[in-house]
Amino acid sequence: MELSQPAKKPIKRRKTNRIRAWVQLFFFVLIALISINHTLAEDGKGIAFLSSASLHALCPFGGVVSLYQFITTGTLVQKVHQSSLILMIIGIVLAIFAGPVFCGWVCPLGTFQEWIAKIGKKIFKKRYNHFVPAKVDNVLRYFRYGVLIWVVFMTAKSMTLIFANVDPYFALFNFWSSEVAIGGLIVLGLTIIASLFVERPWCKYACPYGAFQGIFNLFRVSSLRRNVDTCIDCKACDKACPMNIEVSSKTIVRDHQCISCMECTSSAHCPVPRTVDFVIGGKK
Amino acid sequence: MRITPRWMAVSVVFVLFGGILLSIALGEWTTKSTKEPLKFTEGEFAGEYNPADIRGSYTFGDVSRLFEIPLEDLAVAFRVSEPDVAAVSLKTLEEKFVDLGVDLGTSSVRLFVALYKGLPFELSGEDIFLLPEASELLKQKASLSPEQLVYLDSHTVNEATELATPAIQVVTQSSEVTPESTPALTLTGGAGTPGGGSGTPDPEHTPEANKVGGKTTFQHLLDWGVKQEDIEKLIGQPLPSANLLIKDWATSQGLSFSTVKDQLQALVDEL
Repeated sequence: MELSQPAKKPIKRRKTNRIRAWVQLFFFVLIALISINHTLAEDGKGIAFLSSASLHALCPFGGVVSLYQFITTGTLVQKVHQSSLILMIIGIVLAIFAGPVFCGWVCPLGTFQEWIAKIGKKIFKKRYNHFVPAKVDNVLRYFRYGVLIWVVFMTAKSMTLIFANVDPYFALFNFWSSEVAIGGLIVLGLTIIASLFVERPWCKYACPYGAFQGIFNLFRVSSLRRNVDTCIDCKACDKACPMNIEVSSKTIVRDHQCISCMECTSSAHCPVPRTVDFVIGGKK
Repeated sequence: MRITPRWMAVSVVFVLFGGILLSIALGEWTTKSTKEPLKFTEGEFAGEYNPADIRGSYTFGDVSRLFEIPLEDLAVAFRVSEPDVAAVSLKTLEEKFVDLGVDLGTSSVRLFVALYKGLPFELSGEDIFLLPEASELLKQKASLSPEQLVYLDSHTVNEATELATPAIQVVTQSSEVTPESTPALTLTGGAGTPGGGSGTPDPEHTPEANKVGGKTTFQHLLDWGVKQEDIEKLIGQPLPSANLLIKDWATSQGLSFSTVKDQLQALVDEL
């Protein structure tokens, strides 16, 4: 018997990354409550201890689209507030450290799509998240960079928050309000339907903030590493990845679509300890 | 060093809320507008606030402070009757004047401020209307060019009290501020327009009266005995398709349904 044999044996198998699920739930509830409180506050019925900020003030992407105007004129795009700039900076700090953790752990729209995905998984089983042909999927994944460039350019040109007209995140937490644009509701509806077939379709193909955060995957401080010596090639990491990244074929994952959710790691779906891990530094 | 999900969760929450708390401590965390419009960057007015960047979230107090316009003038120009004029938000104007049938809101304040202060203002294809009080005030206090006067005259909401013929006129509009192409949209009479007061009986209090509402078509009016020529006289054009909803017709003409409805109701009540 070879000495390395015991390490190749699956030792444990956790279904999900429960801590992430709780963190996601926390941020989803927090944003929902703030949004409801914003509506109540406009009628003078707001809850005192809870923020009544507009969702535009709590979206880091507002900071990204305002950058050009902020640098050139010192002002922010209409409806965007200084808090958006602060959140943008915090998002960048987190992304430099560990990639798009904001997408994988905080973004309530991402969380919402994952909840819809649970229904899709029950309906389609193993076919779920594999409907789009790989060739088409590979091309479509760059579309979000086009969206990012278009939104940043058009916002700089018009000095208005044009993305609000199609923003599904704003629509999700304001569908009861007259502030929401019909375009946002349509995009939200399409995202919900698509989430029944594909996991996180908005994040994969269209989210401009996801595109912005994704760039940090190329040079983040921490890295997602697979230990080829202990890997049993079960492909559990591939199946667990909501973004369909083929972790099992890489030693270091620096895919621009990684959302740092850690579902592929040995702390979650990988059955072998210390085989797929987030690490800081050169070696484990 | 290996990062576990627990470490990641703690890091995310710590960095996010730590960053927010730090920015609050530094006085940088604001979730409301800075209430400071863009400034002109070049030309004669460089360094002055640009009225085109006045936003709906501003109050009349903000406008008064930023552009040094007396609050009393703003209150008159926009019929602000609240005791605390300074606290009234501009975004409330649109709803307040919805019955006028024209967009009268934040853009009207922008135009008023620009003309009042003699600042450049680009109309960029939109027609902006003002109340008669605002126009009068501008004529008294601002130095307006002939071109601006023409624009002002054609963009003042006309609220005459008597019924004219035709009562509702819609003329093709243009954003160019030239005498040849001045836009005109005049609403006259009608109990639904502020200051109208035509004295027509309220159908709510006339049980046997047929009531003009959102589902009423022109055919209904004819069925109730209203003469076709009277309808045509009122709407200022030949009768559209008899089965057309009056509400849809008003919308297609850019008119306030409530105004049209009140005037047609007056015809019904006269039967």
